[in-house]
Amino acid sequence: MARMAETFVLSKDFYPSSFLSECASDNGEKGVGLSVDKSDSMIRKRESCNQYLIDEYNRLLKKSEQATKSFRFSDLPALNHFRSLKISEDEYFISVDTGNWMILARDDFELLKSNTPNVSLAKNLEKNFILLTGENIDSYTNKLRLRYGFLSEGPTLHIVVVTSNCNLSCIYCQASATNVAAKNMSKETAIETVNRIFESPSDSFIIEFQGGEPLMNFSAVKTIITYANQRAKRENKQVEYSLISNFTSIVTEEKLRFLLENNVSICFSLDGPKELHEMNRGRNYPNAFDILKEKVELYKQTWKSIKDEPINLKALMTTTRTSLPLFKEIVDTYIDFGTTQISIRVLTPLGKASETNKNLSYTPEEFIDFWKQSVAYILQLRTKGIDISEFYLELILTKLFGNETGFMDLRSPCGAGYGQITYNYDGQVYTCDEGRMIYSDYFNIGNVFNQNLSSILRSERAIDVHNASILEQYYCDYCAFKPYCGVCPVLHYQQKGTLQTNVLETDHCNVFSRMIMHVVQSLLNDPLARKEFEKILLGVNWQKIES
Amino acid sequence: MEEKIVVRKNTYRKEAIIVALQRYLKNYWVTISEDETNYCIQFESKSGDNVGVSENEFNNQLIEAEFIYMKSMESLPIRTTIMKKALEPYHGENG
Repeated sequence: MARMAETFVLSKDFYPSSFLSECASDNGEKGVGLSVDKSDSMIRKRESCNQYLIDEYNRLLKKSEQATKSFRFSDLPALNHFRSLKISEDEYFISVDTGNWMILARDDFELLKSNTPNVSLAKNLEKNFILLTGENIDSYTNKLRLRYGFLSEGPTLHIVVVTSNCNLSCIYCQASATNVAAKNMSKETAIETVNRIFESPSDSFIIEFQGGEPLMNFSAVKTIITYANQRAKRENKQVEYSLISNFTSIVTEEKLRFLLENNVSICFSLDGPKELHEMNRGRNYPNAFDILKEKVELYKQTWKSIKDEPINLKALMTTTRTSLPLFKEIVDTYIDFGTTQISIRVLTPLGKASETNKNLSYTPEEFIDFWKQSVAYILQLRTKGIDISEFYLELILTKLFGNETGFMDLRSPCGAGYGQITYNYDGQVYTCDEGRMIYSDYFNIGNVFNQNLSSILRSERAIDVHNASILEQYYCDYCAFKPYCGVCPVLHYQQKGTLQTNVLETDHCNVFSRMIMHVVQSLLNDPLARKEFEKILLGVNWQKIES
Repeated sequence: MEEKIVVRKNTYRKEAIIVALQRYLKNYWVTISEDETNYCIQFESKSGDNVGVSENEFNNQLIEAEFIYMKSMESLPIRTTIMKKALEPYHGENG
């Protein structure tokens, strides 16, 4: 480590003169950096130094926008904008905005950097849109257009929180559900909510029921489905429904029958084996696991009595610190229930699961180890003919191989106030599900009673939020995984108090960049994983192949 | 608890240093001092742990940052023009 000379002073190239003067007068010297004492005032100054570097970085991104020269299509062939990431000693991952990617050996990467590719490399670069020519430019622009098609659709996911009541008290509840009857959506609010939903320009959309426990206000669910079906028929729109339930005593055959007859896709909470599942449900609901099993059985029977097609069981798990060593048991429980997909979700630090709850939380590194172990176990089971896969693995594979999935958390801009809207039980409208879970009204963008959908979507706050999820303003724009990723302004706000933040400091970046890296490295280095990835991508049922 | 790395001013541009340092701001307080020919970058661990930044590792980060910044600036015109063309059908009356 080089030693510092005594003549060093805080750099005028990086800090404003007012800050330099303040530091000089505090220190009484021109000294080296800042004093290392731990007083509050010195810590604030160090934080200011970091903040200036972030501000300078943001200015850099804006400056580069202004520096834009013109490019004409007659200038082709030309190198496209590409991003690179070293993934091993001799290999680089290269991607472009459409999500096309390739791996280059170090020598080829050097040729690319110097813009002197040989003929065979140039062909490969052209095939992957890294080199744009008269031959591939139309395909490239078409692909970009398809990828960003969602920008013109309007909201396609309408989340309706029909109640904030819940009969459980899950230890990680992100919705901070309570058991208060006054927090149910009224019939009048339900009707106005549907009226706003049908003002969306989309011809087809999903209405998702959430809570609390949505089945605790079943009359609102029925009102919404019945009225939305009438409107859809009259206006020639397609509506799909989904509902997330805890599948406890609140589930009855009558309710299931109504939901299935209206093609509601139902998803239940399942955190893993009995002990873990019941521990997470809180103290006031013993035997939650056995009741869940009983209700899933009732669901299967009701399904068989109504539908001819095979049952598609969907469940959601939440990962807590206790889950981490239990990856095998969790996956096995999912298989026992008859589900074919598990979604290994990182705990979102909202509501009761906010960052202050250290008993639940874990580091991104711990979560990634858990996810990798779970995926390895799932792949091992698949080779034995068991039909099970993992949601994020499927999502990343689908994104890597060229399709935009419609999953709104990992795209730019994200869904908040753009692709999805959340209508609360009291008529308040929020940018997204996460936005209503935060202990603040910051993400409230309107009310179903006194605004139409257009004015809600054009509110200043809604525009600020979806602007904050555009990746070009973050370090993400330098990241080779940018085409497959996204940021969450709600989490930024929760963690830093601002919509924009240094993404490299966020757990979200830590988790998703590592997930993508793991999939890429498995594709390259693990023939067994690659074989299973191909089957997952094809959506082929392993058991059918075997037979 | 703290480490200092000296970077010659005529080797790396200021922009590359800013880009490279973004990765370190979560775990370290970073302050930059200078004399006529060098910048001195001081890393101080926020947690009080030892600083895990080596001079070699930081130099690699600088090389990468210099490259991505330059490439990003160079390719901005083609990227902007093509994105605009791709999104043309979605632009409203006000563009």
